[in-house]
Amino acid sequence: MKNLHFVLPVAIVVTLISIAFLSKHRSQGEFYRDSCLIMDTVVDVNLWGKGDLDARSAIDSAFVSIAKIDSLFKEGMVRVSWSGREHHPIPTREVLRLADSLYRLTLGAFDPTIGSVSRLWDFSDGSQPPQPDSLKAGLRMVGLEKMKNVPGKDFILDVGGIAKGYAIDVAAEVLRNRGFESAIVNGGGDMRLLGKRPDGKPWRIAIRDPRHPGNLIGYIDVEDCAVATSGDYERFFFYEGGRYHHILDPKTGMPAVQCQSVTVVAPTACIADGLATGLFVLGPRKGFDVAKSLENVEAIFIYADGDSIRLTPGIQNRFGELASN
Amino acid sequence: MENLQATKLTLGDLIVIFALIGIGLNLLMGRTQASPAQVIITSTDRQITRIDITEERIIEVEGKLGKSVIEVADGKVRFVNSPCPHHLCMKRGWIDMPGDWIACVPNGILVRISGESGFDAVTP
Repeated sequence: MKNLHFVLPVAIVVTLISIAFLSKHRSQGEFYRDSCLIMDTVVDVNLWGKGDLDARSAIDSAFVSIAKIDSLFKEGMVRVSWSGREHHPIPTREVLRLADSLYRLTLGAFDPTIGSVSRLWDFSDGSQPPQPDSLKAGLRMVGLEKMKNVPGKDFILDVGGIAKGYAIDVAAEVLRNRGFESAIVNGGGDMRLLGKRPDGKPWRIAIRDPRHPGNLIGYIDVEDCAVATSGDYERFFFYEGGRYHHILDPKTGMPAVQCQSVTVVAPTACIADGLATGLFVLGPRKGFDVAKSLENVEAIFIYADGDSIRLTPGIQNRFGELASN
Repeated sequence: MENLQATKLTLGDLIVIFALIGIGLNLLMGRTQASPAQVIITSTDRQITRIDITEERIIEVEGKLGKSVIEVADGKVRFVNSPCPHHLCMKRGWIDMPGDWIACVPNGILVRISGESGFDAVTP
């Protein structure tokens, strides 16, 4: 073991690098997470902060803000007329304003007035599709343009999905206003991502395989945005050999059939959620064109056959495929 | 310091130096030996039950509506039965990925597998 004079300097250098690494790691702050069963799902708040009290208090405030909005949309439906919407609380008005924007962005494929049809469906096991007559009657009250043309008449709006997205956005802003720059508010897989990961890398978000939810089909690397997925595999039933799921086409009142799932990246969770529904209804061809035309929006379509995936150009370099396990 | 070259380090010295660095790093990073994942069941009243995922167990958990039955087997976990209207928790089937979860929201029960999946989140 002669001529080992280099060992001491090497050990010192290794130690210094380790200290530098640790100091960087510590500067990223501690990781905090809490979960809550709310809005008919599990909401996770993950954040990186430097003070235990501040972080825990911020997470509690985020949950409180979600609970307040959830109380306004408890049933997922709002009965409102176009002219009467101004009498509702601010969050309801804001959700209705966003619903109107989403209706236009998706060429009517996301239509909140689908509420008068979706309440006819029951997605429990052993259910049946609604009778054609009742479906036809329900469809007479579907159409945001119709609602605007009869301003004093109450329509049933199904805004459960985008209201959840809106609540996630509000909670994320609570965290941002408290000074947290790296955080995730995740409501059952629809999420708002603040900033980047604390190590400076983008967030890595995995996408489930729609037919084998225990498996992942791929992942996307994204930052400071929202991600939401609409899939046909969460609420569904089988009837006479047919599979009926909860994402309804406002034109027919029946489940949309062209996709298994659509994942959307957008600036806010509310927009991502509404777009995911609308693009799912439009399908991988028309929906792709719509998504491509929107600024700061990307989409991943899994076709109804489950064999094909289509990605908008802006997400292609940020998508990684995972071998099914 | 003036005669660093005279320092004679043995193989033992080397092992001790690098072992100390390794131990120090582990202590500072708070890392511990990897242990088997756990199934963490949280009910409405925040009561938490932990089961080693390698166990074979069927457990009944009292929730808001009644008893949910949860099965742990072959490194996986699932809801076998639950008094909820739509049985979304049961339709989810088995899960085995660290960090993954199934919830029976109407009955107020959350089942999560401990650990990290390697992803920051999973959609949906």
